[in-house]
Amino acid sequence: MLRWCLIYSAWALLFLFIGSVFYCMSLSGQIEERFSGRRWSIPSRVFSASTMLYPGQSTNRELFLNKLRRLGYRETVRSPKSQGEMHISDSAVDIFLRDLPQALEDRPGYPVRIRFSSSQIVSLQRLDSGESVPLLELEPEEITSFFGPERERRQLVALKQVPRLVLDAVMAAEDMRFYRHHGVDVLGVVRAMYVNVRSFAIRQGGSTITQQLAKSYFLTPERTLRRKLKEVLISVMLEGMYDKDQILEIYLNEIYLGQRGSDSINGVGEASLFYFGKPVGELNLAEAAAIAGLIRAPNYYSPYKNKERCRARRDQVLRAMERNRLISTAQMEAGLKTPLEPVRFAAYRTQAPYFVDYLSSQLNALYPPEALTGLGFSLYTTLDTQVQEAAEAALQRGLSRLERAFPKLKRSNPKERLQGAVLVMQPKTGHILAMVGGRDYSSSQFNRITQARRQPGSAFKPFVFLSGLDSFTPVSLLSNEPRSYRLADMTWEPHNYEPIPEGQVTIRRALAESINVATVDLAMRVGLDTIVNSAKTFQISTPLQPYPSLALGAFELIPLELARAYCAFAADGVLPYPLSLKEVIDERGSALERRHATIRTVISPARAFMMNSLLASVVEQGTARSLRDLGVWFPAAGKTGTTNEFRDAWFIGYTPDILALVWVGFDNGQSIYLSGARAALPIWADLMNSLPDYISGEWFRQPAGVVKRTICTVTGQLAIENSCLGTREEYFLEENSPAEYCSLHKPITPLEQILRGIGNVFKRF
Amino acid sequence: MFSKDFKWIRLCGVILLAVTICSCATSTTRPSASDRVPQASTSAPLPAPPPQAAQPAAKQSAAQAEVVPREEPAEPAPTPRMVASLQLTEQGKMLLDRNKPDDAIAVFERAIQLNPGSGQNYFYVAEAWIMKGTMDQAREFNSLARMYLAGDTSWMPRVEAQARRIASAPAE
Repeated sequence: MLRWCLIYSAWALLFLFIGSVFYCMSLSGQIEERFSGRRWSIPSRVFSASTMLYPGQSTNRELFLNKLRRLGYRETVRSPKSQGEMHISDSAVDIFLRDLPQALEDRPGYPVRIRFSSSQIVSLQRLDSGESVPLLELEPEEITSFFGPERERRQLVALKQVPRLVLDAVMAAEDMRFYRHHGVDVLGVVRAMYVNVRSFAIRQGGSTITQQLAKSYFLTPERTLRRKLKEVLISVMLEGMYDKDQILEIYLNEIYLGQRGSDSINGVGEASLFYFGKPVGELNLAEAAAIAGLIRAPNYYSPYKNKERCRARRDQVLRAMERNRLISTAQMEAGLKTPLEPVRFAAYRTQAPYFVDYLSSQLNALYPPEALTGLGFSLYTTLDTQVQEAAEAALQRGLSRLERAFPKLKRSNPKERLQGAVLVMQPKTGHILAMVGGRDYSSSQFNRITQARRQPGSAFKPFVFLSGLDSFTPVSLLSNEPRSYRLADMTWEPHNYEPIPEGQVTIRRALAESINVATVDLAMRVGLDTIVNSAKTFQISTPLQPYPSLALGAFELIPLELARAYCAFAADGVLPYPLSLKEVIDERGSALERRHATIRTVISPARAFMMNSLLASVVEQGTARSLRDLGVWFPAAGKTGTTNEFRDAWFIGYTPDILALVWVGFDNGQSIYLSGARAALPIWADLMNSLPDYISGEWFRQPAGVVKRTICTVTGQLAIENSCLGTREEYFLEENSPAEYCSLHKPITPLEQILRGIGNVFKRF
Repeated sequence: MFSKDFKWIRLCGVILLAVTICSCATSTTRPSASDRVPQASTSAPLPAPPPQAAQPAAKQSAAQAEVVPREEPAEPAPTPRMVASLQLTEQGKMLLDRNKPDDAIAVFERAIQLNPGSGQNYFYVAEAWIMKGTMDQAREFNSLARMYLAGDTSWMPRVEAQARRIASAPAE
């Protein structure tokens, strides 16, 4: 009997042993799989373009300071001592720059003083060496992250990046004997039991760092004996399979350290940014202790929920560090006296949400969604966050101003409110600097720049005039006589926005004053098919029909395409690809994708210059002349646009440096009762006035193929000096510049010259 | 008294003579067919107009309203933007020297943003595209360089040579 019992027991033990071996092998496989593969799903982060600063730069100080705050520079009351700090005074900002990887040579961070006058950067000077800095680059700004469903925010840090203070604080708070046990700390468990029994409460846990990692990584949160045994087993196996430093590094990146809305904060790298606005390498003792203290119960001890409770827990950690001789008593005392100062509760906010959507639509063609949400790419874009902020603010102010001035534009339903959109581009490169696809992203994600199809109205006229440049000149006369046009089974008669008494007007005036009747006359003389083909050259993708109303923009197009087409005027005839994504960098820093400005010549530089000259007249004397009243002092060209029944109001304006399109209207096509000049143009002016950095005051260079002639203002022919009473200078394409002298004013005789000369002398007195 | 009157008559005479001479010197009779091309003003660019005062622009008559808006400056004094752009151009050149055309283009694009009127930047972007073997873009940027550097005797030979290299490159 005993023998049989022994045999059965032996067999049972053998099976148990074999079972345990298989179980352990299975667990080991799981651990191997989990640790050798990708440990975390890291969201891709989207960055703006970097910012250049230089002496003499005009700048909007408010936008600049906002940018520094968004970049996470912490304001201090004294001169900045470490990277990421800044001190703001009336006439200067002192910044301790962060290290910045650059293509030519990585730039280590250094302190710099940026001196301002009222609206200019006067000087940039290093505070450490006193050298002046000719050009300074500020790091790109994170504008959003592409999350997976788990919505974990995590900044991976290598163990060597984590300061000793932080490691000591974490071990003092959680597992002082980490480097001495083998996954399970029996002594620690006994001590915890003793403390808990003595105090009749659970005051101390006995879980080691390895156990916590095992729990977090492999197990469910329920409290059962089976789960606890499994935790112990995994911990011991982990210790056998990996060294202590590896385990600690994984732990520091894995631990849950708080919550921001729907995003969880994981790892000390993210936590140090979230709570103290600085990378983990810059944490001081008190901050390190505070973060270590959070591990036990991140939301309970969160400084954002209860500062005193967080401070008390931090002090416990500091004392534990001193007790374990990790810091001196003096260090502890200093730490205890340090006030707890978490950074301001800045919400994680996706900046430029419409731009991000547009970017996503392009990225989806390149990468599967899992790659974007899990592989931790860094996506660098063309967005200028200062321009974006200015564009959003200008649109908000403009629409609110319209609603105040014209109460019938107000709607109670947020979905039906007056809408607007702004796009800002750099014409030569096609870089999209800002995109505001609507008034409020939270109430409408419809992007009115990239998804809307709206009639351009008169904003399309430049393409009609461009088509006519081969056979007409700026002084050619167009008919302004009312006329009906026969279409299939109906007649159509264009009307002018305002009465124009003259029966004939010049090309320059017809465009400047947006005269409909004359524009249709030009279109019919040029040929509607020619205009359709011309528009297609500019990559207008929506269908265009050769109807006379085409000349007045009575068809739908995508605002982005309209802005891009105008870029060709501002860029010497080259049509740029609208660029939003510049670079995709993987976690290891390798470039997966690089995009540059790509351009294609669509019209000659001479024709582009002629259009710029004609469209400058719109601003100088035409429908956009109110810009001068709105503080736009610099040379600019542009065109207003208003559609039938005032459904759409447009203004597209540009200089050689910047182009911006503004649209205002209702989504449902109701009338706004206002022209482009009244509704959209003031928003453009407000935006430009906020961006002194982008206003050089330069004008377009006259290219080969354009000539300037003095003409008689009456006949439009070459002026005869001293004969034509009114003369002015006019640009012409060289091939169709006028050859005939004024036929109306005859050359004067010598006697007439003498008399006229005398008259002029007396006029001077 | 008499001498005073004489003085006035003499003054009037001098003025009359001066006016006559001036008028004759500048007056043009209707030119003959052979000399009908007036002096082109493109060879001597005119100075930039002063900035427009931000005043209400009263609506003018049609004849008055049609004024050619502005002209480009002859030799613009380097502005802070131009100086900053030049710094970037130098950085871009160094990247080209290190055979990093992608990095170089990114830097030149920043330089173009700061000073779109600088032909050098277009020349170097074309150079970077040549390095990358993308000749259609090289050709486009070479054309821009040609436009902005026209008349610059030190640069045009380089631009021309670049155009020849692009033209002789094998088709993509």
